[in-house]
This record gives sequence, C-alpha cells and structure tokens, in this order.
Amino acid sequence: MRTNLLRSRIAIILCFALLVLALGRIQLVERRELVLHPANRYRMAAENRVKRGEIFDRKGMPLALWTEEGQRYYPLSYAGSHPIGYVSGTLGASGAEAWFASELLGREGTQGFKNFWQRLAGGQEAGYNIQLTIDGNLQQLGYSLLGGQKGAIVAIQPATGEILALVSSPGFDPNHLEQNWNHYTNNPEEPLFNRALLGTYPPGSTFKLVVGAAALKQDPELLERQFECPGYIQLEGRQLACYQAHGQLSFVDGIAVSCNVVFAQLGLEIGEEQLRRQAGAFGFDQGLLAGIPVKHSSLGDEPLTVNGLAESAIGQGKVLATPLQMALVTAAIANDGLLAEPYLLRSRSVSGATFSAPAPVLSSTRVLTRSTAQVLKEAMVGVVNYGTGRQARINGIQVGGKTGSAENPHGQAHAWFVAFAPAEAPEIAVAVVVENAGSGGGNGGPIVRELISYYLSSLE
Amino acid sequence: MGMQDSRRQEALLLVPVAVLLLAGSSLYYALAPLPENRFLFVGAVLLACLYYVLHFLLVLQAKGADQLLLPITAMLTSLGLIFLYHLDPNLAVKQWFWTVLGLVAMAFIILAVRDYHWLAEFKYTFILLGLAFLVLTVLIGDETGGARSWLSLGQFRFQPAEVVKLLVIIFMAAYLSEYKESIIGYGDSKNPFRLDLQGFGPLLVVGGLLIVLLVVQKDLGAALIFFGLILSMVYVASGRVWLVVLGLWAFGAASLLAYYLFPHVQTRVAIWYNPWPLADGPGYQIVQTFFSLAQGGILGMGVGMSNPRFIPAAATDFIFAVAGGELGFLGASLILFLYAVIGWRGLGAAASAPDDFGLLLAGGLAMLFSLQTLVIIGGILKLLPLTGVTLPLMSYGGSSLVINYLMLGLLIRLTALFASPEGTAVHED
Repeated sequence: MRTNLLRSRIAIILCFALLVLALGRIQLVERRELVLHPANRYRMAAENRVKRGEIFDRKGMPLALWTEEGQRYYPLSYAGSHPIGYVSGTLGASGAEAWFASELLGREGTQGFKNFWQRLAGGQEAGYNIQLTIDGNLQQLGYSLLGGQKGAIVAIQPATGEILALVSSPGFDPNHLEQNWNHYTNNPEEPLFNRALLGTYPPGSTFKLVVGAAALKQDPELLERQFECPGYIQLEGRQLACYQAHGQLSFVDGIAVSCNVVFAQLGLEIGEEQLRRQAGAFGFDQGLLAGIPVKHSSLGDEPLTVNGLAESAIGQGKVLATPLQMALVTAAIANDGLLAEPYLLRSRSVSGATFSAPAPVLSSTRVLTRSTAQVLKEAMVGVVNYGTGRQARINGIQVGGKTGSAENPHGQAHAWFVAFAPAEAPEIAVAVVVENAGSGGGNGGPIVRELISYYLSSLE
Repeated sequence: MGMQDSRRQEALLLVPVAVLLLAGSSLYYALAPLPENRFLFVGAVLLACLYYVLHFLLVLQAKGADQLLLPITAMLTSLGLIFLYHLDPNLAVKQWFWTVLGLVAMAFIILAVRDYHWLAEFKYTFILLGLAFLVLTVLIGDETGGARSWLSLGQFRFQPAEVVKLLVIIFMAAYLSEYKESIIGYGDSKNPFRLDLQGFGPLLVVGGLLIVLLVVQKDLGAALIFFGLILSMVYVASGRVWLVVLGLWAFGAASLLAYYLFPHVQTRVAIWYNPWPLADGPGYQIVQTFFSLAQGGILGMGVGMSNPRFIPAAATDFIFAVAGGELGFLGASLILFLYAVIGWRGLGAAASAPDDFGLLLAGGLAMLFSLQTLVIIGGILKLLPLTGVTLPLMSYGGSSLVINYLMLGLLIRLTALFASPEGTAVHED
C-alpha cells in the first residue's frame, strides 16, 4: 500500500505542476491578448479613469473631440469612420481610437509617468491629444466622391509616407454607433469593414507597374524593343485576350494602352522569382503599417504555373492587393523609386491643438532605381495624356496614372485608378478602387481628378 | 521524523501568518481609517494568538505531529480572509467566526482522538449517516445557485456533502483495510483481473449511491471529487491500475450519458470547450476569471486593487481568480505550492502509518484535500469543466471551513500518532 500511496502522491504533485503551467499560460503567455480584449471590464475601468485625448487632422481640424456633455463627437461622421474609428464602453474601439490608445490614454512618454503619480494620488489622469497625417477635407471629399458605392481610397504624400486620406465606403456613423450596431453587423455591404487596409482585390492592370518595374530592372534595352499584339497571346492550352489588337507597340505604349499581351509576355520573361521579389520590395507579404492591422497583399502561396504567371502579370489570377498597397506602389514610383514608410500618427501634444513639428520620415527604402522610376513615371503621364486614363486629366497640372479593370467572380470588374501629381514634383499619390463599377478609367478617373485638383489647390 | 519538543519550526512559520494578518488589517484600516474599523486589529491579533494557542496545544499534546500543516492552514485561511474583506467586509467577519469555530473543532479533535482505531468499528454507522444526510438533502434541501445541496435547521444552513466527505473517508479506509485480502487477492490468484464481488459489492453500492445522490442534487463538483477519492483510495489499497482504468472508463460513459440527458451538463461542456462565444451568457464567469488573472500578470494588481464585482461568486468558488489577479502569477503559484505541500506532507505522513487503516485514513484525508483543490482550480483555469466547489480554507463558507479544519485536525493528530514511539511500527504493504 505504501508504494501505491507514494505513487499517487507523485501523480498529485504532477497535477499541481500542471495547474502552475495553466496559470502561467493565462497570466504570462496570453496576458496581452486578454488585457486588450474588448470585453475586458478591467480595461474599460482603467480607460474610464483617464480623460482620453482628442484627435486632430494635419491642419488642426478636430476629428474626435469631447462635447460639453461629455460625449465623444466625430465631426466627419461617416466619412472619417474608418481611420478615426470609435470608442465605446460596450463595443470596444476601432481605428485611430484603438491603434493609438496608448497615446490617447497617456500610457507612455512623460504623460505615462505623470499619470502613474496621478493614479497614486487619486488625481485626474489625462491622455495626449494626437494629430493624424489625415487631411480631414480630403477625407470627406473622397468619401463623397465614392457616393456610397463599395470601395476605398488611399492618398499618400510620396516623399514622407504621410497618409492623407484613408477612405472606406460605405462607412458608419460613429456618433450613433450603439443604436445602429445590429444594423451595421448584419448589413451585407459591411460598413464596419475597413476596405482600404483589409480589403484585398485583384489589382488588375495597375499591377503592370510592378511587372514593368521588374522588367526594366532585368532588361536595360527594354525601351528599344518593339512588341507585337495580335489581340491575344497563346499560353499553355489557352489564349489570353487583350482589349484589342494593338499591333506594333513599345513598352511605354504598352503601359499607356494597358496591353495585356505585352505584360503577359514580360511576366513570362522575367519569371516568378523576379516578379515576387519586386512585389515584395513594394511591400507585398508585409504588414505595411506598424501596429495597425493591414491585410497582406500577395501573389498566392502556391508556385505559379505558366498560365498563372501570365495571369498574374496582368494583375489577375492569384494576385490580391489592398488599396494601401497599390497607393504605396504609386508613391514609390512618384518618389523616384524611394518608398517612404507610411504612417498615420503625425504628432502628439499634452493639451490643445498646437502640435510640434511632424515626426521625421520613419525610413525610406529604395525599391527602384531612379532611372526605372523615371521611365515608369513618364509612361504613367502617357496613360493620362493619351492612354486609358484620360479622364483624370487636369488643366495646368501634369498627372501620371494607371487604370485597372479587375475581373472578379462577384460581377462587373472592380474599377482601379492609381495616380500621382504634379508629375514633376509629386505632392500626392492616390489609389482608388470601386467595387464592381466597371472600367477603371471611366469610374476611377473622375474621382482621382477631383481629389488631386482639390488637394493641390489646398496647398497653395 | 524526529521528535522536536519545542516545535520551533512551527512557531517560526506562524510568524509570517501573524505578519500577514497585521499587514492586511493595517492596509484595510489605512484605506478607511474610521474608529469603527479598529476592530480589524483586534480580529487580526486575536486570530494570530489563537493559532499560537493551537501551536502550544500541539507542543503539549501532539509532540511528533507534522510542523508544516498548521502554519500552511493558517496562512491560506488568512489570505482567504484578506481577499474576503475586500470582496465584502461582512463575509470576512462571518468567516472570521467560522475560523474560530474551526480552530475549536481542530483543538477538540487533537485532544479527543487519542487512538484512531475505534473509528473503524463504526464504519457502517458513518456511511449510513452520510447516505442519510444526502437523501435528506435530496428530499428537503434548499436550492442555491442551481444545486440542491443545502440543509436548513431554522436559521442555520449547511452543506451536508462537506460532512459526508469525512464519513466516506473513514468508511472507505476501514472497509478497504478490513477486506483488503478479497480486494487485493494477489496471493491466491494468478489472474490479475479477478474481482471478488463479495468484497467489492458493498463498495460499488455505496460509491454508486453517493454519486447518484450528488448528481440528483446537481452537485456535479462534489460528485467528481467523491469519484476521484473513491478511485484513488481503491487504487492505494489494491494497487491495481486496471481498476482505475475501468473506473475512468465507467466515468467517461456516465459523463457521456449525463451530457445527453442534462442540458446544464451540455452548457458546462460547451463553456469548457470554448467560453468566448458564450462570454455574455453562461461563459461570463470563466471569461471574467481569465481577465482578472491576466490583469494580475506576474506581480499582480496588489491586494485590494482588483474589482471583485466583475466576477460573480468571487467569494466562494472563484476566490482563486481574485487571488491570482491581486497577487499575480508569483503569488498564485505560491498559493498552489502551499496546497501541494499539504498534499505532499499528508500523503508522506500516511506512508509512515503503522497499519493499513491509519494509512488509508490519513491518505484519504490528504487526497481529498488535494483533489478538491485540483478540481476547483483546474475548473477556473479551464483544464476541467467548471464545477461549483469551494477552494478549501480560502473560499467563504462555514460548513466547508469548519469541516476542513476538522479534517486537517484529524490529519495532524494522525501524524502525531504515527510518529509516536508507542505506535507499533509494523508496516504492511
């Protein structure tokens, strides 16, 4: 009996050891996730002790503020609902309210120390006011230009990576969220879904910029070459059609008229590895925004077949990209091949709406040589001047762009338009996608034109 | 185990208990320095003195007794009182009185039980009494928190299942030691699966009745603990692993049956499998428990800093969630360690018993204590489906606390008897 007893003693001690492991899993390993969980009432209680900071746009216009009655008020309403988000005792938080919670709640920096003492002394804790890189007026204009259609707009300052607008449509009303919550969660148009960061779409012909960049890198003689477009290209067992038989054309013409034959052929020539490498340099398969959830853009996990490679080269097949990703591709080309890391939080201040100088550019990576970028820029100017993007032309301002009409299983093509302006010294790069709207030039062009002309005139 | 007349180790280990009680009362007084709160110091000093009284009682009357059991009991009780005061000062005051009553019961056992063998004589009386209690509860019991497990005598209410635990241990120890030949039966049989139904029959009947009665009361936690207790005592007596396997198999089959029969069992299992989709409904408790524990992190929020209103039943079944939140991983692990030490020392002492009855009795007591701790904390940490049982010594609850003191008193007394030179040192395997 003694042996049995001592054996069962060991079993019991092992069970206690198991409890310690389970305890460690909750208190140490899964801790962060649980502490940040939206349903965690400790978190809400801690947040309620702090006077949450207010949110301003790049020019000091309020985006989220406290009313006299102590209500959180969002002046942009639907238009700013995705990047600014909401904060609610029962529904948690989203957008900047969630992404920059530690600034808004004064958990870091000097305010963090101050609040620690305030907490001990029983005083009022306060968070930082923050300034976003968003331009509130541009954001609002973008939202109204989408006119309730499903889609997204991302605008970036190419030289700095500052995100000027991050529109997702349809939006929601952050000022009356709790009453409408069920309506929003059951709505098939998914107004709570941030399409700009989390929506992945086949990029269609806008992806030809990535293929073009890889092709230019591989073949310096590319500009001298003449291509022949008979209206289709023969692949393994199938034909890939072009919009029309373009006949004899150069690489630059190929971009301007968005010739599928030229790019399918280039895709096959450069091969999968180079294509993936160039896409990766632009940010595919990466998170893009530090600390903010962004869906990874991708060429698919599977190795590509010959047909798959040709389809990918025209932005179809397995390629999927977020609007933010395509805005970055455009911004890097506009910025002479330097990709500035994008960001949303410009500055913070202890009180009021006066903010110190914007944070410096986080980092820039050279993703294209200056000359490659120059070729692509000129080709994109051609797109707008005489190619598929003529709808984006603006008097007196040289715009560069690329259209895309991405075929998809959900109906009409998604309309894409990526652009930058002014071409000689770009101030803005923008990517627009309108779901199932049809051709990119016809549907995206006017939106791009309005956005760019408004933004450039606001700079004067 | 040598004899130490002065029991210095015990006296020293009670010092941190006294410090803890004083620190706790000072903290709560500092948080609300009102004249009427001065009773906190009286309560703390008085309780610390009472533990020392018990210590001197052991010095005089039970010299060879284990020196760790009393200080750990005192430490866990004091921690429980401190958390309870934060949850609800009235509960802590009541629990203080229950603790004093428990100490009286412990002192009584230590003084009264000079020899334990007579307990075996009354095994059938004890078990019949135990079954009668449970039948009575089923017939005229009150329902609280979904389980019909309370008996009322006027103002006085108690949970019979707590008393029945002690009665079952005595019965099992006596029965198994008396009929061990027919149960073990190695000597005369080459068949390891031979089962003497005459020997096992009464055990199966008693065990089956107990568990059925508890399941009818919907006291699934107690049913689980009794099952584990009976199974482990049978294993210790017989050394037959296949019996344990058979028992677990039967338990699995019975659980499956219960799962299909009772909707509340299905809910429990669903919560255990994944509480998150049910976080606003039946999964609320466990999810809030996780939040409390996570909030504690490594070092804890600090005593008195958690928000106990976030966890329902924080004072009883979920006191460990409060402890883990306020003391953090380090403090909560220390609590687990203290519980494990009680099991370790109790089972170790049992192994030195001079006879089988003593071994099974002490072993059963230590086992029950450990099993109950494992079942409730395992439930809180989602290793097991959650069943409502109290955490020994720390949870609020008069019946549970007094019976635990009684059982620990008996265990302490037994360790003294086993260690005394008069004990015939005939070890049987």
